Amino acid sequence: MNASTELTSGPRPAESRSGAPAGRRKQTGSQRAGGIALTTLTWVLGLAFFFPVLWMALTGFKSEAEAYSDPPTLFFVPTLEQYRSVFDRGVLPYLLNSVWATLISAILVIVLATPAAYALSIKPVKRTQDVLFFFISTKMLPVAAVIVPLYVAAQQLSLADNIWTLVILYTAMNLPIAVWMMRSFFMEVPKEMLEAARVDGATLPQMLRQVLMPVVLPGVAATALICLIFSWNEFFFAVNLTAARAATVPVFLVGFITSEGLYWAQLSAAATLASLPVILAGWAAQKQLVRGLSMGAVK
Amino acid sequence: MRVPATTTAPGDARPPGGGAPRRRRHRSSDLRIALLYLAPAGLVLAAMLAYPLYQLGVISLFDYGQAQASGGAPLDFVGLDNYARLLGEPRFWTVLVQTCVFAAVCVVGSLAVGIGLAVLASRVRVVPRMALFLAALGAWATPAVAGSTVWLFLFDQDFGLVNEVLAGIGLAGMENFSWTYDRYVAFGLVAAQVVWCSFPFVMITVYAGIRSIPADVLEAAALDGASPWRTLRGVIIPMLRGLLVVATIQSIIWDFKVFTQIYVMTNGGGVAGRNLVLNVYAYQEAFAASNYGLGAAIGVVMTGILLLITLGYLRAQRGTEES
Repeated sequence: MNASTELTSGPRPAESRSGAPAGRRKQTGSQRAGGIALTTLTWVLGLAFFFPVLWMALTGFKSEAEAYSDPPTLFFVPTLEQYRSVFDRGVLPYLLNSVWATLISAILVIVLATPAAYALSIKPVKRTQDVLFFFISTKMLPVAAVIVPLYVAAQQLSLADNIWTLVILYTAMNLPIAVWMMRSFFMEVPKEMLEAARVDGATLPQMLRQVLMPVVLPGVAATALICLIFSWNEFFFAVNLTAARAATVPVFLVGFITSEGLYWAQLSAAATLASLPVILAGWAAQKQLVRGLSMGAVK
Repeated sequence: MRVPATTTAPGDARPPGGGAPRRRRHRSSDLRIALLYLAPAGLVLAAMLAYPLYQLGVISLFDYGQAQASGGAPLDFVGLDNYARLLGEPRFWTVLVQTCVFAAVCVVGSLAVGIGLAVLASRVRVVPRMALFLAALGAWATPAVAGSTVWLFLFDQDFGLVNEVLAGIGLAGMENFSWTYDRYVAFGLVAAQVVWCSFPFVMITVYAGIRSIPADVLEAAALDGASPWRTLRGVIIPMLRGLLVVATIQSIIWDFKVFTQIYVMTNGGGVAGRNLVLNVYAYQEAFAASNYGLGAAIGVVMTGILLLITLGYLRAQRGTEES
């Protein structure tokens, strides 16, 4: 509980806890050495894990010949040629489709998950665990096997190659994890706040709107961001259920692999373009993401 | 499926008589509202689960090939033949074992890397932490198709950077080493890629979790001279149990159903299908071999196994919680 009250009073300055042993206490030599070792390790691992992305971004500025050279080129004259051809191949409609499918489904997920998570966080619902398990079990169907029934259904409802098919599927895909995460945020709201509101005669819907929502808002934002990322990268439904009209960015990317052999530099440019919105959004929302997710973590 | 069924349940039972205690009535209307709140999400998911599962079950009982799928040919009910055929197929058992081991390695790997980096991030200063976050965001943001291709290029036999570097530091044998030929090496490479794709979710949630542990608890551990490992085992993991359960289940479900990475990196399941996992196997049977009935049967079996694994895991978790 004491964590939650601290959290709701705003983000704690990062430094206060980062170098845990540092602080005001006097550092011993071995502690400082340990700190340096940890920092070095962090840089090394950070670079190693970032390297594939870095390499992809670099390759996007090479010519195809340089991208395929043996040994690999480290120094080269950057060119925007690949980006130009990516736009020439018409990436924009794909980007727009991705944006719509991702945004609308994320909004739907929040709209559906908020009341459900709230209901599961309060006492009256028995067997909460069973309901949660049912929710998460819907994620267990293997996509490769359900794609046939889904395809047939989409045809019959004339929803084939329609952006709404993806919206519905992405909503269903992210709903379970969203409910599960948001429930833990609701559980973290101090009982006293709820009791106080109840004494004042607030009904459940009022409590949700006026007491809980302001408190769990960072958590809702974090959940929405995570849903956005998952839908943005979703490939299997998109490639099997859409064609010319509703295809999203990941489908566009495969175009570089299958249709005319592999255009490695172009693919890199396109993939960099595709991951940029997510990186930027994640970077901008970093604080909120961590703050939101840290609600309800300790229980 | 319990959800819609309970919508009409005890909520309607009003306490008899006008003088019922106010609190009681409050409770029962609470329940009604709660179920009302639960219904939309429950219905959406029930529909999304029930319809494909029903279809999947039905298709798995028929001899369902290309002719039937395109609408013309009559359906031939074969009962459990598809299942019998599947269970009698040695390849199915190989793929099943492969999938389980592969998924287990990926789950353990994602959790270990994610938790490890989260602990590291919580112990260093702002700038290196930012670097770690940027790496996580980059890995997370890269679509799996592109990520798999990048990895393939880095580990390419002839012009991959990795082999170049390994040869450069004196491992001459690595000059033309193929990372995708040998069954286990290929699985290892794909597993590493899967871990790379899925550690960010674990790392960021666990990092957020560590931040929410009261500072004095961690300080006390540090003052007692607890090593990072002891702090992790004794403080962080027990306090973040709920969150870790979610991360683990999410990872189990993802990694058991890996598709894109295997499909792209081993070119659809490796030489002679040596690197198949169940999801790709089902896809190959259904689409490449036009045997939707058998593909559906694999799907049903997979769903059953996943249900069993996650149920067993949750049971075990609840067990340790009580003790």
